[in-house]
Amino acid sequence: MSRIELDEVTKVFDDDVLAVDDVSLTIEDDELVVFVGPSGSGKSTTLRMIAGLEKPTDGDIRIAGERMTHVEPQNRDIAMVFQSFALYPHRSVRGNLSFPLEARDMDDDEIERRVAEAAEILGITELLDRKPSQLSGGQQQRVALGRAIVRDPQAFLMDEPLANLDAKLRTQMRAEVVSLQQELGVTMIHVTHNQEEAMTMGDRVVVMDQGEVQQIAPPKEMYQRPANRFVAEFIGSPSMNIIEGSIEDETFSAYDSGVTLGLPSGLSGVTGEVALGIRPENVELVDEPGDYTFEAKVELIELLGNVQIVHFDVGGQEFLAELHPDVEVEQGEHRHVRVAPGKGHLFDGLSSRSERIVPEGEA
Amino acid sequence: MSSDTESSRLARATRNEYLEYWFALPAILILLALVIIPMVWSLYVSFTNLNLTIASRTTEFIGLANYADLLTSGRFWDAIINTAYYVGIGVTVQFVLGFAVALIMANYTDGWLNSLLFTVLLLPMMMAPVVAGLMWRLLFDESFGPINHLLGAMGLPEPSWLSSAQLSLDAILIADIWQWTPFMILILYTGRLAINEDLYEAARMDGASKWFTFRHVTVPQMKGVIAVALLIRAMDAFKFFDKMYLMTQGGPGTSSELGTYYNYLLGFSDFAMGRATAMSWLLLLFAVVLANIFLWVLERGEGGEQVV
Repeated sequence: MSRIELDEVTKVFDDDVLAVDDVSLTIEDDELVVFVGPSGSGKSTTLRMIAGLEKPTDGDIRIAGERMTHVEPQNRDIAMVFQSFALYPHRSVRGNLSFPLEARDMDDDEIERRVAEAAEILGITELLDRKPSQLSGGQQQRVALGRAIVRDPQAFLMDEPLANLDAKLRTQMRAEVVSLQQELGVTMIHVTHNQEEAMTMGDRVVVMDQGEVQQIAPPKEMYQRPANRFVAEFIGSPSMNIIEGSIEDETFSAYDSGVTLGLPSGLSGVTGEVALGIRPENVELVDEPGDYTFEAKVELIELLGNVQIVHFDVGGQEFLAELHPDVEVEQGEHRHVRVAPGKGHLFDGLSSRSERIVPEGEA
Repeated sequence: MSSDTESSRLARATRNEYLEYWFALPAILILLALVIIPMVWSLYVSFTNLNLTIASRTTEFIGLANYADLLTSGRFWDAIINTAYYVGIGVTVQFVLGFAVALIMANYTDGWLNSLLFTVLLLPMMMAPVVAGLMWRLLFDESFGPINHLLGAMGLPEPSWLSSAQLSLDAILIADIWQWTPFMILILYTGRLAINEDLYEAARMDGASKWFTFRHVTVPQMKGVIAVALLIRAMDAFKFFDKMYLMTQGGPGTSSELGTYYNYLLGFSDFAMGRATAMSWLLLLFAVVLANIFLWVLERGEGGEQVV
């Protein structure tokens, strides 16, 4: 039972910077939750408050039902993996793994047993006598994880632990961290600025921006039903296309590009200023103009192998489409782009906090 | 044409495989003249009975007699023991005080308070040792010195600091601790700041107490800096001379006489150059042996990592 609850937690730093603004969320037992957001979004500060390294200005933090808001980190029974790994350079791998156990005055046999077990799980047994400086980035990462798991803590906090690894290793460690979490059955909070990492790792994803939680949802829901324009643009790569405009008589007219589109039936009641979001994969090229189509000029084509990303110019605005590589496109030509019906997202205003308008019939 | 010959001459010159030695030659000559030849000469002199006050006597080679005389002389050993006391106690107190203040400054104070502390703490170091010596001689003065005045005002005994065989060396020690503890603070403070703060956060997350963190993170991480600070201060203390010369001149009697001062007296008061050079060589030997024992002890510590 190591549920983590944040209740209206706020953090204002000494220089009056509001880092975390009134955050409430609950992380269930054995859940892997990913905090994601751009830098300065307050995700790391939130994590550090859960760790106890920062004290909240306001609000409460409970771990396993106990109020921990003002408890020192050493008494919280929580392990943390740092972006820099923070291995003790003067100690061998063994010394690093045993550090938290020695700090707790555990007896030598038990330390020996636990260190061996953790090293076994992470496949670093043969590295036990090396110094951190003699290890590769991936090995250091494993030692950092090992130092967290030897303790068998209530929860794991991971502060961008994969950010210092190269791309290939990052993908590999991502999967390893997830399987480790499942194997150990522990609560884990993982912080990243990489939305792909968030989508692939999290049972649930918490998107933050400017100290506020924007949305808490499982990855698929986050992608399909972003709560507001910020989440819509942040999650997904390439990002969602946004066209700003207004709706009158069930027709959307863009401000800059002259694009006009009819609305599908579920959104028939909407009027006024909106932002229309269309994911690059939700469009196709058609030969004739018709419903849900607009004309656009091909500016640039990026072939990625399995898909091609086509950059269109729509009245001076960029619009990205992700198409099958066999679709014939020529740079400079004008084409008719058709939006898949029901795949557009409407946000009720132009700011990044504009909420998504939920179509009728959607749960 | 002429530029052609010039460049070919340059090419020949650069092909000269001894060229780099020619460049180093001036420095080598200066070193030889000012350091190496005098050292070798002094080693030779230490085996003779050279005395500058006895002009008529022919200088004779007397083997190890100077060394034997010194090593069996009570005054020599008193001076060595005084030096050991002075180096041992002085550097230890400076180190402990300096480390404590450095850690307090790194962990508990910051901003303007640290700037102020630095300015105040660095003042003694900026003072010429001669001036510091004179100042402390006045402070410790038995009839009109402020220290005894204050002690008297508080109803405490007023010791005769500089004219007591028991206290004279300690009085010098106090003056030196006052002047050089800031050096320890400065070096150890910067050493402490060089440690990655993540390690301290990691230690907190790992459940380490402050004392455990101090022993297992701070000290091992600062081993190199500590070694350098101790070594610099110990070497400096070993050759200490100025404040003692001004405050007590080794007195009363020889109670505060240090190795360096006795060595000075042998050479420039008695002009017994054979004896004086022999003592210089003995002091050098002690210093080298001590420094190496010290480094060896430090290197054996946790992890056995190279420190210097």
